[in-house]
Amino acid sequence: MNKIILNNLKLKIKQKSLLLSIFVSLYFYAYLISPFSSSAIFFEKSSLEIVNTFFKIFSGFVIYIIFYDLFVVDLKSNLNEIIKIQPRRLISFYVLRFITFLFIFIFLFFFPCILIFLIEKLIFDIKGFSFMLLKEIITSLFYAYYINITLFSLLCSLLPLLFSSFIFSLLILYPLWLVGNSFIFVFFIILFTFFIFIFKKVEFGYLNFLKNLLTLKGYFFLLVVLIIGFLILEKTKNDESILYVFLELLLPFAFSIQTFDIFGKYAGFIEVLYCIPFSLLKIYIEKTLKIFLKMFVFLVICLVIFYNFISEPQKIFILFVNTIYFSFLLLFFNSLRMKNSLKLIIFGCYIILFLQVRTQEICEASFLKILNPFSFIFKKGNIGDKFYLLVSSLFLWTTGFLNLLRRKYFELKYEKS
Amino acid sequence: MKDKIKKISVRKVTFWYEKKKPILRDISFEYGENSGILGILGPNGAGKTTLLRIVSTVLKPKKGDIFINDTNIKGYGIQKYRRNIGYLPQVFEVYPNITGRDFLYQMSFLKGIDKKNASKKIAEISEILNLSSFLDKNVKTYSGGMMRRMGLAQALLGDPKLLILDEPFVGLDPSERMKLMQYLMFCNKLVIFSTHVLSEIEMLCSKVVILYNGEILFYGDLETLKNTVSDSVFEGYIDAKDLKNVKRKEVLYIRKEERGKFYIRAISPNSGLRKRLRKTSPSIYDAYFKLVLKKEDEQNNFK
Repeated sequence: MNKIILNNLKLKIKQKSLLLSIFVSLYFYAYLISPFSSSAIFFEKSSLEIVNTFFKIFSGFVIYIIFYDLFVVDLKSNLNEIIKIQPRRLISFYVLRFITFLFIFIFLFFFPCILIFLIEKLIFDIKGFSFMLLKEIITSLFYAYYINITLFSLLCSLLPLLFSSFIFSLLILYPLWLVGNSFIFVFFIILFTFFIFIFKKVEFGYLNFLKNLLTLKGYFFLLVVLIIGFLILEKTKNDESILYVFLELLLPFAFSIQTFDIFGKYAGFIEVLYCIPFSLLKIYIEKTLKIFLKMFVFLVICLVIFYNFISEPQKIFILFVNTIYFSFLLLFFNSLRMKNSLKLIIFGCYIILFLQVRTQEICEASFLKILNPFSFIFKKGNIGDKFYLLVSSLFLWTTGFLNLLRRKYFELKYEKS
Repeated sequence: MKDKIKKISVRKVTFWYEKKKPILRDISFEYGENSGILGILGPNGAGKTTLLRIVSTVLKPKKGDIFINDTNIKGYGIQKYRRNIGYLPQVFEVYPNITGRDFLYQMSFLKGIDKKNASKKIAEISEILNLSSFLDKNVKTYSGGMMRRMGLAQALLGDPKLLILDEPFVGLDPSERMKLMQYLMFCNKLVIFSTHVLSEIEMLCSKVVILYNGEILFYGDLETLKNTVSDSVFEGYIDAKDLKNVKRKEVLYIRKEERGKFYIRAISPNSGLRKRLRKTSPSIYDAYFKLVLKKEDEQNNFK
C-alpha cells in the first residue's frame, strides 16, 4: 500500500517539480536577469546588495512556492497517506522531491530565460508598451496554472497597479470573492477591471495604456488574456484553506509589484538603453553570468532551510505552522525596508530560535510565547518601522491564530477519517 | 569617415497614438555640420519630447522618414546610427543602489568602451559636468541637478557624433549651466536640444525649430526669426493714464519705473501707442511671442 502511495507521490513530484522549475525560472528571470528588472544585479556590486536581492526573492516568491508545494498541497490532498508513511520513507520522499526540483530547476533555468528574452526584445522593438504587460501576464498565467490560482489572482496582480494600493484591492476584492465565487461574478470582475483600465488611463512609463488599448492589436491582446484567464478559472477548485486565500492574494501581489515598478520610475533610463545597440543582450549576458554564481548561494540556503525542516518529519503540523510564520516574516522583513545587516541579524535569530522544531514544541507553536525577535526593531527602528511592526504583528498574529485553527480542523478531519 | 553623421533630415514626420489626435504633423527640417547647434523650442505639450524621441529612434514615425546623410535611416543602419548618438531623455533616473562612477562604468561597458578608456573618459566628463566630487557616492543621495548631470554624462560617453538632449539644463545652477553651454559650444558635435527657455536658444543656437501644437511654426536661423518682426517692435515710456489705451496682446512686457512712468515693449502697437514709442531692433523673444500669440489668436478665432 505504502509503495503505491509513494509511487504516486513520486509521479506528482516530477510533474510539480517541472512546473515549479518553470515558475521559479520565470521569477528569477523577471527579477534578476531581465534588463528591466528593478533589482538590477547588473548594477549592484556589493555583496550586501546581493544578499538583499536573495531575501527579496525568498520573501517575494520562492519561499511560498516551495513550501506551498512541499506542505500545503499534500496536506490538502494526501494528508492521511503522508501520515501513514514511515518517517524514514517520508524523508526519502522529501529529499527526492527536493533534489529533483533542484536538478530540473538548473537545467530548465536558461531555456525560458532565453525564450522570454527573445520575445521581450521582439515586442520591445515593435512596441515598447506591451512588452512589460505581456511579461507580467505570461508569468501570472503560468503562476496561476501551477498552484491553481484563479483568475481572481490574476486580477489581484494587476489591480494594485491601478490603485497603487494592494490593501485597497484586497479590501474590495476579497469580500467580493468570498461572497461571489461564481462565474457571473467573476465575469463582472473582469468587466470591472477592463473598464477601470480604460478609465484610469493606466500609463506604463510614458506610453499610455489607453492609447494602445484603442488599437485593434490592444483589444485582441486583452481578449486573449481574458479568454485564457477564463479557461484557468474553469479549471480551478474551490478554496478550502485560509492559507490558500492568503497565498492567492499575496503571491501575485508580491510578484507584480516587484516586476513592475521599473517602468514608472526608470522609463527614461529604458529609453537610453533602447538607444544603445544590443544593450539588452549585453545586460542579459552579464547578468546571467553573475547570477549563475549567486544561484549557488541561493541553493545552499534552500538546502539549509530544507534540512532544518525535515529534522523531525513526523511533526509535520508544527513544520507547517513554521512555514507560514517564516513566509510572512520574510514578507514582513521585506516590507520594513530594513538595512541588510539588521535583516541578517534578525533573520539569524529567527532561524536559530524560532524555526527549530524543538522550540516550536516547547512553545506549542504559539507566536506570542517565544522570545520576540521584533523587539530589536523597537530599539533600533524609527517611528515608521514601529508602526509597520505594529500592523504587521497584528497581521502575523491573526495569521498564526487562523493557522492554529486550521491545524485543529485538519486534526479533527483526520480523526474522523 | 563614411559612417560619420554629417546631416540629419526629418522629412514630413507625423506621429500619433490616436490617429484623430496627432502629436506631430508633417514635421520637416534639416540639420547638419556647419549649422551650429539646433534648438527645439515650444510651449509645453508642443511635441518637443516626441520629436526628440523620434530623432533618437525610441519612437518610430507613423508617417515620414528620417534621413542620415541623405540616406534613409534604415539604409544607413539604425544600429549604426544609435552607436553615433548620445541621448538624454526628459526624465532620467537610475537605480539607486549604485555609485555614480559604477553607473558610468556600466554605461561605458554597454557602449562598448574598454575599461582603460572608460576611466579616462569618465574623469574627463566628470570634470566638464562638475561631477567628480560626488561620483563615489550612492546615486540615491543625488539631488535633481546631480541626477541630470549624471544623465548628461551617460549621453556624452562613447564620444557620440550627435547629441540629442531633452531639456538638458533643467535643474542645473547658473554656473553649471554656463559650463555645460560652453562645452556644447566647443564640443565639435552635432547637438539638438529642446527647451522652452528662450535665453538658452539665444545663447547657444544658430538654428531653431519652433513647435506649436505638433506643427512647425518656424524653422531657420535666429536672424531670420528676428526679421519676422523687424519693423513691428517698439519700446518707450508712457504715463499711467495712457495705459488704458494699451491692448494686452500688443504688449511684450511692461515695467513700472520711477515718477509714475511705465517702460513698455510692444509688438505691432496701435497707431495711438505707436506715436509715443520708438522703433527698436527685435529680439528672438519678440519674434517667438509674436508667432505664438498669432497662432493662439488663430486658434481662438477658429473656436
